[in-house]
Amino acid sequence: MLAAGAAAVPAAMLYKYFSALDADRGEAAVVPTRNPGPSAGYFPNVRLRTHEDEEVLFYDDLIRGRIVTINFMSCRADVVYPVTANLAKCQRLLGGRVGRDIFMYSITMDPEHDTPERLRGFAEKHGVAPGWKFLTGAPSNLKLLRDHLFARRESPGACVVQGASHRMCCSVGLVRYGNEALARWASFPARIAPESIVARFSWVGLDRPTVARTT
Amino acid sequence: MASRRSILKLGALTGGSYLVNAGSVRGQLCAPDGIPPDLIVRPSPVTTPFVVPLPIPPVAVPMDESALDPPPDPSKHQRYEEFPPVRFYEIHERQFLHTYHPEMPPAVTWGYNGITPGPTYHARWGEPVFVRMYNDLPADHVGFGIPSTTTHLHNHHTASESDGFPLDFIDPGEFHDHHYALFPAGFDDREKLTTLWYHDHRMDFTAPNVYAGLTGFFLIFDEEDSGDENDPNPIAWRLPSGDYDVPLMLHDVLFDQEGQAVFDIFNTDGILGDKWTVNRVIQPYFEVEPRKYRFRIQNGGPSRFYELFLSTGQPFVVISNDGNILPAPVEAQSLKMSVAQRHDVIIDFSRYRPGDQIVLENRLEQLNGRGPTGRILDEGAGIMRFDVVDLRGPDNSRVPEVLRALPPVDLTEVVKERTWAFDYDGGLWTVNGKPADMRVIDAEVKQGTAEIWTLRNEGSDWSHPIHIHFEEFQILEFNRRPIAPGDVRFSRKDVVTLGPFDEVKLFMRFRDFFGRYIMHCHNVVHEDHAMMIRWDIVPA
Repeated sequence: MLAAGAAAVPAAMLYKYFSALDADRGEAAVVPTRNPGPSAGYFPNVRLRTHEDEEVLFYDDLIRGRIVTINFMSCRADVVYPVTANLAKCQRLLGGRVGRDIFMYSITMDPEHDTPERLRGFAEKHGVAPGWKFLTGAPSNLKLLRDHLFARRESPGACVVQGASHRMCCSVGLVRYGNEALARWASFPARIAPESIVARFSWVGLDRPTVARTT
Repeated sequence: MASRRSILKLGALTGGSYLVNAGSVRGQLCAPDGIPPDLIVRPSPVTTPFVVPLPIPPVAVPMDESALDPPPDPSKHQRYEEFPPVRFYEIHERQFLHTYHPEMPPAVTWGYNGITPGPTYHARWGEPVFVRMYNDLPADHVGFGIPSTTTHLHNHHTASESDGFPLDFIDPGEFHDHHYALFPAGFDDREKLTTLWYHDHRMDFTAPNVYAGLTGFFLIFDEEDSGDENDPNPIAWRLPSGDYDVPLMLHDVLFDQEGQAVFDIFNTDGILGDKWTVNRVIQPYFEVEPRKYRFRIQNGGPSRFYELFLSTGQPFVVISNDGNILPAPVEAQSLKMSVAQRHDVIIDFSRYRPGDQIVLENRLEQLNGRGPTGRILDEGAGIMRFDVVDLRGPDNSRVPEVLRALPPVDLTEVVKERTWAFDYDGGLWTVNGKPADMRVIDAEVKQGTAEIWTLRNEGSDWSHPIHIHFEEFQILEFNRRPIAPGDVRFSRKDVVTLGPFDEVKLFMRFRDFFGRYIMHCHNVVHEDHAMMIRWDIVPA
């Protein structure tokens, strides 16, 4: 889908993209969104709980109209495949803009272990500032998010805390970034230099003439 | 839609065991649940095959240098004064509506000068070219792709600043100047290329930008490969030329029910389409006379591997590999083409009669973006059809028995050996365990030296077509065996296909320019998900 704002093609193509998967929601409870943006179809509007123990709707409250980063993680996987410390450096580089111009979300793949309380402790340990939320929720809701964002599950027995098989902590090295209002999405490796990460956000509209300037 | 039925049938029979038995736990990927292949869940609208005539991209028209405003700045280029351009072009990347098939509405598309494939450059060795590339894409674009571009001429011997380095991008309203010096590597005529293509190379967004339409051909001629089958010059090869020299750009595309190309930006395995397009129309037909033709076949990706056959069983006469003319023509029953690979082939239709129809088929099974299964399907998918019509004139073209010798491999030039392992880690496609960071120099090579690079695929379940910018390489060993003369890989190349656990040893030279270059997987979805390194040429 390539949609120009004013062209004949509606920006809703991406919204429709995952409609065929509606039957695969399983137990997940998707709340109809009030106002779908151009990439709403990628982001199931499921209820999640933040590390600050708030209840949020994933799409409506966290994604719509925003520039965001999204990564799948778990407190235990972060021991063997650490990414959070590097993302925390990125947050510090971005200063007070996180929570205002850009939002960061880390979604656990290990909800049995990663309760809101544990996630809060984990966030505090990493010096996480407001604007970055760690998210957990019903396993069925989390699974639906993983499916839509192509996060691989750990294969049985492979994603363990100790041992060399940590490499199969699937998808924990990958961070999605993008701008929902532009349906512009890409990925960066979680552990590259923070400067290389932060430079990317202008590509999806953070302070960038790519968006504001007319040709 | 026979191809889809075949895939479904084979998927039901073998799909499960294919994944389960794929090898070690380490080599396995566990796909997200609930994500069946797009082309089965959301097939494109049905279209009638072979009703659209094959479009041929127009030849790019040079302009007067004085019309360039501002004028070229030689100080921005290596060796500009030494190789002053004699042909100047201004190209504009634009968004436009494109008709892939008359039974579907026009689709929003990106292309060079508002067409896809873009205009075909006709260049000559020894006649340098200057291209000013403007980004006129819509700044407020909504959807896949980014209106921010950098253009790579794959795989011309180009100075770094003109090579389309992934971070050398321009935004809407900006331009970038490319200087193509048009001399072969090391000033060795045996290093000349003939068929090249140009395409977008934007960091993180190469796959969607290429899929959106930013591709085109760049052909280079010389006295031998002169583009004139009636050339009186005694050294001219007189290969089929003019209307009988036809570029074919292959892309597989998936469409929604409104006829718009769709692209799942979150799929990190690779993107498959269920519509076979040639020069960006779906399953065209092409009228051919009963005579010889030269086809320049390019796999434009993003993630599809082909094995092409002619429905009549006629072999192809292969004359080039990755744009490099072979030492001698090679007869081949099929063409294996991973992403970005290209072959020039001669097909002689003189054995057919007017009214005969020959279908170009893909018979390689591929169920996901990670790579082909390796299985050859009984029932091929029709890519395009050749319809034989009356001969309009004499066929004066020839296919010489001897073409272009390989430049010698001199191992005494080798100053260093490096090994690059291609793998998967934490959701990323990695090289030597690391994801791409273009600010990091992964290797420094000394100008004027040679090296041996060993490339190894650590995966049991995926394939990687690895592309190395700058100079063509030669394969010393593939899985510890040399390539024999008569194999199409007995050639210079710039893409090498690594199937599961394959290992290849390459001879590389680094001459004439300095700066930043890259090596990456040309499954452009893998490239965008970090399977890329930066290497720099530095003074010796």
